[in-house]
Formats: sequence, structure tokens, C-alpha cells
Amino acid sequence: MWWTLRRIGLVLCAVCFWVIGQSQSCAPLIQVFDEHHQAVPGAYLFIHENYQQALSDSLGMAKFPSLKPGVYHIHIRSLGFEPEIIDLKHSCPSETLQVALHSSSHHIGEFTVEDEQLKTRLSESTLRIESVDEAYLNTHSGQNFLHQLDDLPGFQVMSAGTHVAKPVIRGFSFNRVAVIDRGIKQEGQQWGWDHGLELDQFDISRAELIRGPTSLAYGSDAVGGVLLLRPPRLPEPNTLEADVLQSFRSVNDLHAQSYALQWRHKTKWIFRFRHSRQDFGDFKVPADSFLYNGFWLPIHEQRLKNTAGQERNFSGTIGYTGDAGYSLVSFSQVHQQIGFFSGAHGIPTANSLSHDGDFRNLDFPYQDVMHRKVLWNSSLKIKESWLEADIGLQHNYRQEVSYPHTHGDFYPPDAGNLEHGFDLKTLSWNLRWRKSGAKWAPKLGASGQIQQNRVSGFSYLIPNFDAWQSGLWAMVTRPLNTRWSFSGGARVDFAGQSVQTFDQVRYNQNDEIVDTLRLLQGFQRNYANWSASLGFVYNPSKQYRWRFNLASSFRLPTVPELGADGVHHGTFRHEQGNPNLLSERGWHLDVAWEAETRNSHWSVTPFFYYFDRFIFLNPTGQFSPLQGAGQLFAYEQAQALQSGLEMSFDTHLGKHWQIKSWLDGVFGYNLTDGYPLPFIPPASGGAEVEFHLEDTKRWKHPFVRINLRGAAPQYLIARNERQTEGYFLVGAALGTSFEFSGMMVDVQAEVQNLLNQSYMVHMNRYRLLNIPEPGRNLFLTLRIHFGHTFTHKSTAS
Amino acid sequence: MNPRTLFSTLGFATLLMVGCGVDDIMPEITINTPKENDVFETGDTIRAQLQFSDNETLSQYKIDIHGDHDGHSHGKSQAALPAWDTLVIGDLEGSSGTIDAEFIIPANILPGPYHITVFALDLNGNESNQTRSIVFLNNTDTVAPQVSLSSPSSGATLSSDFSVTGSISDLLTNGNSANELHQIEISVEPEGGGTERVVALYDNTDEINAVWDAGTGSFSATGLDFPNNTESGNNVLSLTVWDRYFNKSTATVSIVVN
Repeated sequence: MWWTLRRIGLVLCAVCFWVIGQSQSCAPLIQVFDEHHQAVPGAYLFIHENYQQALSDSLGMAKFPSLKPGVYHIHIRSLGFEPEIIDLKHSCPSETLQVALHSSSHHIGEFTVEDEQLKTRLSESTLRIESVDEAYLNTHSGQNFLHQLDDLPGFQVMSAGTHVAKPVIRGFSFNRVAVIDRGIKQEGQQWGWDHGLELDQFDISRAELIRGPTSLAYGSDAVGGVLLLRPPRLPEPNTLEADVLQSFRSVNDLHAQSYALQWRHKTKWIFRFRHSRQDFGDFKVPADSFLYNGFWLPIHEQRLKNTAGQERNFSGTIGYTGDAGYSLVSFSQVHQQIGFFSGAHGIPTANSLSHDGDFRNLDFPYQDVMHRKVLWNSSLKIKESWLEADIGLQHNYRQEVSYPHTHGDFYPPDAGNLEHGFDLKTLSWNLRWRKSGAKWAPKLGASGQIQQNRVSGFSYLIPNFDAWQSGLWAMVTRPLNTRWSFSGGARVDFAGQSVQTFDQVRYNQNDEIVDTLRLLQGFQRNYANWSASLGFVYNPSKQYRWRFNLASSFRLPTVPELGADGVHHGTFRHEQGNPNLLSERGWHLDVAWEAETRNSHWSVTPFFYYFDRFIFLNPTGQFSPLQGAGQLFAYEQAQALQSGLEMSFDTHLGKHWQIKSWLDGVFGYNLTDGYPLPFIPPASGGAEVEFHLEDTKRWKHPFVRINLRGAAPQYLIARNERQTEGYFLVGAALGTSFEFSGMMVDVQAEVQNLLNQSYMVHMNRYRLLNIPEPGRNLFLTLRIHFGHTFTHKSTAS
Repeated sequence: MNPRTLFSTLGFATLLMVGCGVDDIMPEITINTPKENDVFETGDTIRAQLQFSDNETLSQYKIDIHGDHDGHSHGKSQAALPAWDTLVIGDLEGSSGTIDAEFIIPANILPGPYHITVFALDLNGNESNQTRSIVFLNNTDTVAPQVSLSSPSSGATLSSDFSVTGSISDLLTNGNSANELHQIEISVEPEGGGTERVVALYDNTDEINAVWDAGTGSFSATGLDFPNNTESGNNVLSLTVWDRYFNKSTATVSIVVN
């Protein structure tokens, strides 16, 4: 089946390459001015629908290659100006369009913010969008990609050690947030606490965070928010670019290398390839022992045994960009092998924590995850409108490897060492039709996915299942007058899950079959759901902006929530699904207040969410009969409330200083029994002060930065959670770029947890064991960027 | 849901949050017996005298006895007998209770270090536990292996590619030769204390047979190197041997790490 689908994809792709190559067109001209009517040279213009780009010349004139008549969504950026987004109505013969930019001391890219998927610009979006670009990611280190986003208000990271991390948006995590990589939702085993995101940290150059209900456009999982990830920008025509990165992190002696090559042939063909690798040892914590169950257990040389691992990633893109659209085919493979801390797989004992003589070896138990995907992103101009399609095929194969218990029980004699094998295949599609220039700017979409999950291994946790989802949505956006604009939409979804029966054969100590136990009776579930949103943006003056958004969303129960029944060793508990769960229904009110002056930006974003049938794992007050399982936790539904706010303040003082600060807080309550909800992060905040030195002939963008971040204690805990104390961390960074033999070199050093504080993060997996987070961490990064334009081949005009 | 239900629910929730707390207090457990490091022989009875209390209502207790042998993730070990584990779950009522449970240690189990862990749950799902380390001896083999080192000699200076030789023998209680071992470890530790570092570990039959001749008792490990970060200077090199009944012996020699 999967091969057939791949073939269909290839044929569709070929057809699209052919269609977008056909055109009758002319070249549009855009002249870029500042507010004093002076030409702005060097402005970068980029058309989203067909990936064409242009630079303005000394007269401010920018000329794109030939384009068919139509409406184009163009981003214009220039250093020292606020980025501008325009919809260009292009006809042949073309007229010169004049665009005025407003000067700003904010750094380039900071406010080129929009929901790229829907082309909803920040000024129209009824939910505030946070965004980080390549410059930000290159100067903010993180143990993995998600940690680089740690300083976005309302965003937290839930991690297991240094290499496994999951996004948390406004206290929502697991299957309540969606990570969309190049238009396709990343599908792994996101329900698991110790399962991370299988993405290449170095292959992402831009991220947009939308906090709040986004299931209208992104489907069931996006009730809490969405993280949109973008690949690196495209090279100039006839340009070969190479990117070499070398990185070191002291906390786990990590060495990372990443190499990329990309080539754009004329303006049309794009080729890109990247290989990244990371090798790391056991990570260091600022503690010699930890207190578990009244026992002080050793941490040998302050390193957590068996948390070493490695990562090997490949990705590539081949694409065609014509004036009537683009078609890009990308493939990627992310392969991670990461050890589980020896004390975190079952109850830790001093024996299991004794040093094994090597800080870089990968011993049992460990996880081995292979994530492969093929994506096809395309855009096609149809008269005055655009049709965009993102289609993705993903294969996530997760293996958890450990020794079976030596006693009989559930473990078959020939079980090998595979405890859990989760083999998940997902085919996803998102089709969008958009008419930008029209009065109501209508957008229509169809999305869906088909999933197949197969399990193996000597332990049972989740069943084999097949699932499908299909949704249709419509949105309109319309300025009502100069101050108010309106945005609203509705969506219907249909879904089904077919879960297979699971029978567990039991053996005695002599490896003889004793009996067969039915752990799960198979079932079939079908769902019909709706979601809707209605919002306004109000601009009472040029400085202030209000956003209001009222939405209702749904989330399907996941198959683990319906059919899990087994010991999740990472969490020491027996997790039991409930096949009678219904879809979650959320009601969301979001407000955003923003103020912007030439040098400063403030925002306050309160939210208030109510959930009917909120699904969560609740301790039952009964022990599981399974070995090493602890308490039985069952999935239940309750009415719930989740509310909080984020605040941010950024300012530039003079030419050199920049201060950024943020605060966020969220409360979650189970309204049925009055307990707080599980996995709610404590209130947290942070600030960074950055000093930019003047560029010299040799040194470009030199900076020095001090940053502070902290979290309040979390005393509002769910049943059987542990209270966690607050913490305060100091960090510092410095870096610069310089040109060397025609290459651009970036060097950077950053220290996180400079004072080597011992602290715990409430949501993190090792919190259960009272194990502190990683200690002082020095990041060293060297990046060399090289580009060569082959001028003897004339560029397309 | 109609607006009236919504608002009344929200009102109730606010009252709950502001007015009354929730029970997040864990039950308390006292293990009167066994005591820490109590030693039992196979066939003996372990008597677990336990006391439980909670601020609200207790729900269940669990007593879990399991081996603490799995020191180096060697999975299906060379031990002569399977480790023993047992699990008892029972109900508790009210806000306090006592349990007096007895466990007979089966005759045919792997002796060595064990844990007895007692868990308690209250009706709200708050969970606590307490653990005692206990030791079991097996009458079949209570004799520790005999270990001696012939090289390196005392005071020898070693840097890399060195050998450790000596002799290892093991007898059962009845005087018969045991012929098989569970595990052999070579380690170094700075004299006067410091971090112990494992130089070599032999924990499966093939690895053990490659360095130890059961017939003659001779032990010879060659081509050894110190692990990274080994502190140079005066160290103690240890050869530690566990027999299949988890009796353990160590021979040491002073060396200089160069």
C-alpha cells in the first residue's frame, strides 16, 4: 500500500512540475522607499507562493522574474526598517508598485511574523504569533531545538535528560500541541512522556509559535497551540551555498557536525542536502547523589549513567519554482539512539547505578528511534487564487530495548531484548485554496491523515491500530474599517479508529505457557466533530492593538488513551486506557494587548479555556498487580479549566542595547474534583540584555549577552504529583561573525546555568527521581557559510 | 453544556480552589521489621511488621520483595538459581492500620542482596513507599571464592597494555568444586580513597572462560588499559569475584598508575 501511495505521489509531483512551468507572463517592478521618499537599496523581497526573490538596487527598484498576472503575497525586509507584507496585484503589462517602509530599531526579521501556512499576517491574526528566525536560532544555543525556543513566553520544554524533549504550550503538551514541519504534522509516539521529537536541530531555520486553539486549521491535536517549523531559506539563482557547522556542549561532551549544500539553478531548480550527526556522553548534574525513597543513591562522578547516545540525520530537497507556483519534494531521516538513565527504568538501586567504566557507551536500556519522511509541498496559481498542497508520508519506528526480567511471568522465552517496538506509518495531506486580493480573503482547506500502528516486543503497552481523519474548513478575513478587522471560520471533521484485540501469552518460570490473557478487546470508534472561531483585531491607534478570539475546538481521544494497558517503565506506572472516552471539547477565549513604539514593544496575552471531557491520567488509588508497576493510572475525563497569561517587553536603548523580558503563568484545574491538572508548568520568567558592538571592517554583528531565567515553585499539583521548588539561572553568551577568504564565519560561546545550580523542572521525567537538571553547560559553535554565484550563466530575467 | 451549568460549575471550582484544599499528603509507612541489612537463610521466614497512617483514608498496601543483583545490566546472568521475587497487595481501611505479614524464603533461590519495599496508597491516589535492604544466604554455597593476585606485583608501575594474573577457586558448602563463576571485575581506586574505576568486567560465560581456567584455577587477563580519567599515582588494584551464589571475595595489590 505504501509503495503505491509513493508512486501516486511521484506522478502527481511530475504533473505539478509540468503545470507550473506553463505560463504567459511579464516581470513586475517594485520600488522600495523609506518614509522620507528616499530609495531603499538592498531590500530583500520574497514571494511566498512561488519562492521567487529579488533585491532592490541603488534606486530601490526590485525586479522579479516573469510572473503570470495574479495576486502575490510578498515579504519585504531591510535592515533598519519594519518588515512589510503586501499582496501584489500583478497584471501584464506591469506597472511599478511603490512600497514605503517604516524605519525601526528592531532587528531585521523580528517582526516579519505571520502564520505562513495560512498567510495570515500578524496584523490580521486574532491570536498573537511569536516567531524566531535564523539569526535568533544561530545566536541562542539549546541542548536540542526546543530548548532554543525556551525564552518564548508561554512555551516550555518537557524533557527526559538532555536529548529527549517535547513542546509545552500554555501548559498543554503531548497530543494537545501540534508540531508542523514544512506543512505536515510531525507524527511519532507523542503520547509518551519519555518520547521526544525526531527532528534535525540544524535543519530548522525559522519557527512560529501560535499559542491557543488552532485546530480550525491544524486539526485535532492543535487545541493548545501549534509550532510551525520552516527549513532554511533558498539560495540566490545560480548560487551554490555550503554550510558547515561544528558544535560542542560540555554538559554531555557532545560533538555535533552538520554539513549542508544547496544549489539553485537559474531561478527554477532547487537542490539541497544536509547531513548532521551528534555524539554525546552521559550528562553531568551538579550532585553526587540523589534521594529516592529515603535512600541516597550515588551519581558516579556527577554523571547520570547511561544517558549517552547519538544521532545521525540526513535530509534533502529537490524542487522546481516557476512563476505560477512551486513544487518541492523533501526527504529526511532522523535516527536517534539514546540511553535511558539506569535508575529510571524500574526502581533505581545502588547496584544498577554503579559505574560501568565508560561515560560514552550506550548500554541497556535504551531507545532507538528512526523517523523517515517524504514531503511534497506545492503551490499552484489558478487564475486569481492559489492552491497549496502539503502531502507527507512518515514512518516512525521506535524501539525500547531492555533485558526482560529473568523470571517467567509475561515474558516469552524467545523474547530477545525488544521491550517495546512501535511502528507507526502516517500519510497526511493538507490542501488549501486562498484568494488573497478578494474582499473577504476566503480560505478553504481539506486535510486528513491515515495511520497504521503495529507493536512488538515482550511487554504490552499500546495496541495495533489503524486510524484515519478527514476535515474540511473555511475561513474568511476582512477589514471592517480602518480600526477593526474580522476573522472567522468553521471546520468539520470525521475520524475513525480501528483497534485490534491483544492477547498476552503468559509463561511460568520454566518458560512453559500457562494461559492467555486478553489485555484488550478490539473495538472500532467513529467520530464527527466541529470547531469554529470568531475573532477581531482592533487598532485604536498606530501604537496599540487588541486581539480577541473566541473559539471552540475538539480533540479526539488517542489510541493509547483508549487502549493502553501496561507498565510504562519510564514513568513507573501502569497506564490503563478507557475505550469509552469521548472527544474533548474546548471553549477558548483569548485576548492580546500590544503596544509598539519605535523602540519598544509590549504585549499582554491572557487566556481562559474551559474543557468539557478533558482527558487525563488519574491515579486510581489501587495498585497494579504487574511487577514494578506501582499504582494503576487510568485515563478519565472531567470538566477542566486552564487559564493564565503571558507578558513580554522588548526595548532597544540607543543603537547598542537591547533588553527582552517575559513572564508567563498558567493554572489548570480539574473542575470535577478540584485538583490541579497534571503537568502544569510553574509561573516562569526571563530577561536578556544584549549589547551589540559596532560592526568593523572585519567583525560583523558582535554581541555580548547576559540572560536570566527563573521559575516559581509549583505547589499546585495533581494527584500524586510532587511539589517542585523554584529556581533561578544565569547565563551568558558572546559571538561575532567575520569574513575569511570569501567565507562568512560565525563563532559563538554560550554558558547556560553559569552558577551550576542544582534545580529540578516540575514536568521533567527525572523529576520523579529527584534528579537535578543538567549543570553548567558551555556551548561552542563554529559555523562557516560559503556561497558562490556562477555569473557566466545568465540568471533568468 | 448550557451557560447556566457552565457558570455554576466555574463558581463551584473557584470556591474549591479558594475555599478548601485538596488532599496531597502521602500516607506514612513504618517498617518495624525486618531491620536494615538483616540476614536470612533460605527457608527462613521474613516477618514484615508494618504500620500505616494517612491524614484521610488509606486504600491499599503492597509488599514487594525483589533481588538487588542486577548490577551491570547483564540480564540473564550466570547465577546458579533464579532470583526470587514476590508481591502481595492488600486493602487498608480508615486512617491507620497495621499489617503483620510472613514470607517463607524458598529453598531454591539465588541468595545475595534483596530489597523489601512497602508501598501505601490513600483513596485519593497519594502514594508513598519505604525500602529495607536485606541479605539472603543459600545453604548450598555459603563459601566465598578464594582469590589471589600474582601480577602485577606490589608497587609496580603500570601505564597501558598491562596484564593481571592470579588464581581463583570456588567451593560449595559440601566441599565440591563450583566450576562456574558469576562475575569477575578488575578495578582501580586511588589509595586513601577516591573514585573507583572499572578496568574490566567479565560477566558472561564466554568472557569468564576466556580469562579463567576452572580446572587449574588460573586467571589471566591481558591487554588491559586504564579507563580515561584514572587518577595517576598510588592506586589499589582489586580483583573481585562473585560466585554463582553471590558470595564475593576481593584480592588487592598496591600499584602506581603512570
